[in-house]
Amino acid sequence: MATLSLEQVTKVFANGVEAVSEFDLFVEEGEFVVLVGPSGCGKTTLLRMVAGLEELTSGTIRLGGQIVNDVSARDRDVAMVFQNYALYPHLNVLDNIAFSLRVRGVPKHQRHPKAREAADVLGLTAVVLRKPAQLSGGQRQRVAMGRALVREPAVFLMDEPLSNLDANLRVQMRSEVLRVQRRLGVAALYVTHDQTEAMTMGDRVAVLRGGTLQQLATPQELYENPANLFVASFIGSPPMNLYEGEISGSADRLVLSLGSQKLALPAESGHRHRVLEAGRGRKLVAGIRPEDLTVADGETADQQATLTALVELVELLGNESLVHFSTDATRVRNNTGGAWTPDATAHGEIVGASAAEGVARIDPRVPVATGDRVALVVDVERIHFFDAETGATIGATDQSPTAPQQPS
Amino acid sequence: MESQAGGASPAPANTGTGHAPGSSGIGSLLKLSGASKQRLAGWLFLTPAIAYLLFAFALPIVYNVLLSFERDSLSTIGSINAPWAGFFNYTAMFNDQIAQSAIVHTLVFTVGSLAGQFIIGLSLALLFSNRFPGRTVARSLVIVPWLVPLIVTGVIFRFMFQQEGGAINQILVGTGLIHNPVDWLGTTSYALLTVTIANIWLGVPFFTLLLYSALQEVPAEVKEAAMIDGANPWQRLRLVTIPIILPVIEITFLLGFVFTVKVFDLVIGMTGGGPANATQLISTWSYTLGFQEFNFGEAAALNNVLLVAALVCAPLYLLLSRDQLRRSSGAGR
Repeated sequence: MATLSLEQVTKVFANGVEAVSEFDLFVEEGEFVVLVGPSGCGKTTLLRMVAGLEELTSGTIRLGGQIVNDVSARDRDVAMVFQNYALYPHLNVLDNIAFSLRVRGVPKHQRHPKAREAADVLGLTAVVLRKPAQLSGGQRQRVAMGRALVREPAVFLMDEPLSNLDANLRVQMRSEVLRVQRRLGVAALYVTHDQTEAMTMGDRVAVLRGGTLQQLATPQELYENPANLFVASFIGSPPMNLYEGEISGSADRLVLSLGSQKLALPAESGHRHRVLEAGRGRKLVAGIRPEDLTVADGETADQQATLTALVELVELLGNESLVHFSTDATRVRNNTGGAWTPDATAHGEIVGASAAEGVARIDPRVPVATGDRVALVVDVERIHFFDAETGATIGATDQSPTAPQQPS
Repeated sequence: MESQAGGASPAPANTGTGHAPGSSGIGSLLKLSGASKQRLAGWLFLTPAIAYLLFAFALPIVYNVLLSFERDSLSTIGSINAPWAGFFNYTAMFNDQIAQSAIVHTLVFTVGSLAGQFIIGLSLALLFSNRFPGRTVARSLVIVPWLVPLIVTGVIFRFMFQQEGGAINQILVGTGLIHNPVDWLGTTSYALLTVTIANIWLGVPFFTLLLYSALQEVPAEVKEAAMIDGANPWQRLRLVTIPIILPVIEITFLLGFVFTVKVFDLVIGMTGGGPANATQLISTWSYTLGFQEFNFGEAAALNNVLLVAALVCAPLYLLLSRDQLRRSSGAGR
């Protein structure tokens, strides 16, 4: 058991592509950290560098305080679950799980009971003598985790381990993975492109984009205080509605314009308010989470900040309804020039939701139908503001949100 | 038999007419039902292949078996009416010292060749699986032995292994490994080793190519998983890579065996079976028996030893290749 620390880790491939640049991360013993980002963001490369399967171009990786840059994968004492499980096809479940013990010279009568115990923990008791080809996807996944369980690794690495499973099994296996990690009690690094997985599993989540860390925080913190536009658009399903906006008005009564519509902002005295005030007249990006919109009932409509919208589609989900609407505001989604642009094509949910110009998550009992013109009440206190140029969150308390906070 | 008028035949007209199609005389022979038409077409397509197999495989084998039970001489070999010999040729063959040693030589030669070819072939295949400058060129050079006619290979090796002025002796003496030139092909104790070395050279491309392509099928992730599990390179090879490619290794050995037991031109080119029959193999001795001593019966009997070996190998090959098919299709994700 050990802590894992990455300092200024950089990887430049032979073809000149910088996959990871100056990445910092500290993982506590027993902590579960998720690396999340669109494909090609460098998260798998990072994991492979920690595993020792990929060399660092520069930077330092420490395991339990020891620099392991030049330690080979087989001496690094890490356990890893691969995306395609990477089971040994010629060995049965028991021998797959016991393989690491076998190569360390543990005799059969000692390693088999251990492997059997791991198989029991993972519910594989009935299939221990089967070969991987005779197992279901979920069982293969469990065998892959069993290989980690029989060892006492310094760190537990997982590379999209659930991406080959069907949706139901994936949800079930999330808790299974967490259970195994708690049992091991070691630092865990988990790579996924699925923000739901990241949010539900991680003690902390590192959001990556283009090889650089965007934000490292708890899931709740990521959701409520995204460091920049990328994180804001990547985390949350359906994603945050992002519009071009402009601030005007007097210091005590700032007004946000979204297209032709105006929203009065509450008078507050915080840091953010001062930054917004100073930025009057400049373009910015306003972000509204779908749940921060409600359908106004006739009486209160004119007293609140509302957005008039045309309902394009209503998705009834039972416990809630997703109302896809359009307004005359300009939706920010794929700014080709901007540095912050989320990789829309790499993340299905962003693309899917952008068919309409906004989504509201509302009470399913409120009657709304396609074609209705509705007034959507905006929870103005919860609007997120971003710099239109840099994508950085405006008025975040921490002015350098990408710098990881290292508990040390 | 009761073919349910397969998908291709629009046969509803037949159902309910009461009599089975094709069972009532000439009329239905001309108006075949869909199913029998298909069966006829199938046989027609197979005919050329069957004719070829009968002519090229069955006929020589049957003729050879027949010969081994006859007392043939130059005067009867052209006809099929040679006197019956029973097992005479077989007893003669098993009492023939040279035939006996030819069988032993063939075994030694085959085992030695296959072992050498496997070790060198696997090493080269592993080497080519790594990236290094000039890999593509080196990989293409491996098949050079196939471009040279066997008899030429034999002659080249004979030159290389000559006692005086042969390249091998010059190198060995030059580097100080041996003091006096060895008579590689003229000494009975070395000659079989020498032809085996030449045959290893010939068979290496086959092993290299098959094993190399098998190695490409081993998923990188599995090798990486073994590395992370703590396996050293030798353990990864022995416990992961070789077991995964084992089905290909088995088939390679089997085919290699079939190719090796029948080697002929190489030995004729290098030693002609000598010295003192030290490199006489089943193939070369049955050739000598048949076409130089005109003892056709014993030559055929000796050759049938190879036939038996082939008969053992053929079903084994089918079994293994079917097994591999099953394994590889089942092992997919």
